[in-house]
Amino acid sequence: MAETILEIDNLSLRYKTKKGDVKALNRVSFQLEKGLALGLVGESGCGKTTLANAILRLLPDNAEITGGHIYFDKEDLLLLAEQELREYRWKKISMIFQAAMNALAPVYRVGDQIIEAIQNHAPEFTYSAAKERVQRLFELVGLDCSRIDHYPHQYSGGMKQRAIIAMALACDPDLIIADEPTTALDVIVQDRILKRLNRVREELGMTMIYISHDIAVIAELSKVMGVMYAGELVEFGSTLSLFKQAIHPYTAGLMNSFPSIKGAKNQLSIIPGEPPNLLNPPAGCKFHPRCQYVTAQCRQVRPPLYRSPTEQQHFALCWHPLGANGKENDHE
Amino acid sequence: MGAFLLKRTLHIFLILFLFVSLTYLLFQVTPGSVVDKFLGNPKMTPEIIAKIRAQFGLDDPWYVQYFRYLKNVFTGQLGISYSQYPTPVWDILKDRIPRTLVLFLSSRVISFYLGFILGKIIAWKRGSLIDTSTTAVGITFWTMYYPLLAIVNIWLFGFLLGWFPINGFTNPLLWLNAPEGLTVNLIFAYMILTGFIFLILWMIAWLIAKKPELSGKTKKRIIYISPLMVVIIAVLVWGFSGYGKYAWDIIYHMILPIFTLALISFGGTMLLTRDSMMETIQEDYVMAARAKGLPPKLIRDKYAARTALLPVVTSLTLSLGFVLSGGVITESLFSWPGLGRTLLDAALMQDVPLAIGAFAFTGVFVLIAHLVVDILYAVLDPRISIETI
Ligand SMILES: Nc1ncnc2c1ncn2[C@@H]1O[C@H](COP(=O)(O)OP(=O)(O)OP(=O)(O)O)[C@@H](O)[C@H]1O
Ligand SMILES: [Mg+2]
Repeated sequence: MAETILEIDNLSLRYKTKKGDVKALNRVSFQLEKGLALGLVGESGCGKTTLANAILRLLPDNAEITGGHIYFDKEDLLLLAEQELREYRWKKISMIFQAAMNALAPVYRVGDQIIEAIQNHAPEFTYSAAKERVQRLFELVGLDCSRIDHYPHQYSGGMKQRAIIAMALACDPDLIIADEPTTALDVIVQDRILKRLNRVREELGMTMIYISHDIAVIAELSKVMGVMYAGELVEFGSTLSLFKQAIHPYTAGLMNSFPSIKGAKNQLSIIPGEPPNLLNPPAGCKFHPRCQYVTAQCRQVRPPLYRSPTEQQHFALCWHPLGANGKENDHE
Repeated sequence: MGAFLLKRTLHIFLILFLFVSLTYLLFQVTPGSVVDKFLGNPKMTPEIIAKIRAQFGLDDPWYVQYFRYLKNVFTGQLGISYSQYPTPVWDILKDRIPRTLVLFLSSRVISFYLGFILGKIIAWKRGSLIDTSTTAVGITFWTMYYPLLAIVNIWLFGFLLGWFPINGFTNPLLWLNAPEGLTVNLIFAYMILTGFIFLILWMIAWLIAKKPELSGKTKKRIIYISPLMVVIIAVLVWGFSGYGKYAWDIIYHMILPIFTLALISFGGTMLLTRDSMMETIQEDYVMAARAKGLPPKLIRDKYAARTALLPVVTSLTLSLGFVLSGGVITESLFSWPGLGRTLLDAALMQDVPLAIGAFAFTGVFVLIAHLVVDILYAVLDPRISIETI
């Protein structure tokens, strides 16, 4: 088995607000092998961005990590001082932000913002050497090199997106966290950028966490996938295994609402109900108010970890795992 | 750029025309006139008064007077002062305008700089004790009744502590023994020239330091050391010329009014910067800068504060109105012989030509300052091109 690059262990986080605590992450655990692409899916507001930002501790003032560990290369990032953490930021772990449109400062040239990142971590780079590197990065992501000296407002949305990707690649990081890198773009551009990103990733042998609420994109790009619901990682495993046999009813529901080529539109089943308000999440299994298999146990006690009998790495949090006890998978 | 300047110059003339007309109206509707002052004087027979009225054209219909007035103002003929007859208005103004300009520009620059620096620091340490206490101090000064603050400062620093002169522009005793031909205005003109040279050199240093090829350390060196050198050279030159003590006398008299003006206005800039920073801190590019592992100070200054600066610069235009009211109050309380006090004295003495002249130049100053701030904004924000303002 390959070496583990990132391990999240029982991570919990809350946002303190005037109305109370938003429990944005609840005991999230998983391990990611080096060189793999992990896809994280989940409905809006389930805590995907929070998880991504927590890894580099890029959290707003009101966020508080209430427990758990984040091991990167065996080092617990949560124990590092801010100063030490700076060594990890961008050089080892970089990010493609969800709001990529605003991730470039409006008052500086795009090229200079990337050069700054390079020189910050590799001071031996002269300005012109760093600029050459930016040129290569621009070619890699399919941007015209003459754009280096332009300001962000002179870029189109797709170009900004590519520039952000180039910036994320600038310091040869070991892990890239891409938080819905293409949501603001039209489907065709989105597809092109994603393919390019994935190719670059494979060429450079980088590990990636790919966040999306589009399960189709995840299925295409990632070997491993995680499903989040209401601040919890409810299912995790290889994409293949998850598609073959989803364990959690929520995962199964997600897959059903994803139109397969065979399935006509009317067969698309949408999970009834709304995701819970994280200010006041339900007790027990967070999914129980929407689950068709709900029992008294589900309402009271947090479900245990259930491992797939066929694949050890594939697990879910559920009292009534699909595929077990002769229960049929809803999928297909 | 050319089209922009042309457009703006036209704007300025249009506004100036309205301003000058309103000023005229204001003085027309103010009760009393210069002639009324002679009424109680038995030597002034009605015939003489009538003659004076005719001489000054006061018997003509209002529109004749108005157009004559417009023509004179826009051709630069400001006439002769009534109260300091027969000194031309321009001769009085040309001595006083630079004094007011120096007072205002330096206090504005100091208060802006101070307010911006403090604002960005407390915003970065939001919620801390430093933040709350500095904010409280800023609000206190900002909302304080200005004449009261000035009087307290005069009393405290001028009278009680005796650190600074209580008022005036110079110490007459010193200048009494000054060599032949050495006037206050001459020395002051040289001082302004020195300041101007300093500014130009500093701007050149900035432009050089802006080159992206330079490393952060070299940049800092250029930006901080080069102006320091210029200051040292300037001080040496003044010292060896033997005129240093005269220049120092003027500076010594300037400190308290500048300090007072800066004190009343830094709070506004500071609170605005803090507010503006609170917004930029939340921006994604600031988070991106953090993610890039940049040092916190760099993130604060280069990312959060740099964009937070833009709305603060805009607010400069709004605060320009203070030049008029603040000018009259400061210059009166500190007996500062500048434009503001000239305006007040002229108004009190019904010296209409002088008052109008002072008014018109205050207007010109505010309009030019607007233009400068607009250009500055376009320089600071690449999204705004100068053509589009
Ligand atoms: N600064 C904050 N203060 C309070 N609550 C927050 C804050 N940021 C996020 N939240 C809440 O935390 C929860 C998780 O938010 P997060 O942004 O991680 O969701 P997400 O899965 O990334 O959603 P999306 O798909 O819309 O990006 C949401 O309920 C959100 O309202
Ligand atoms: Mg998100």
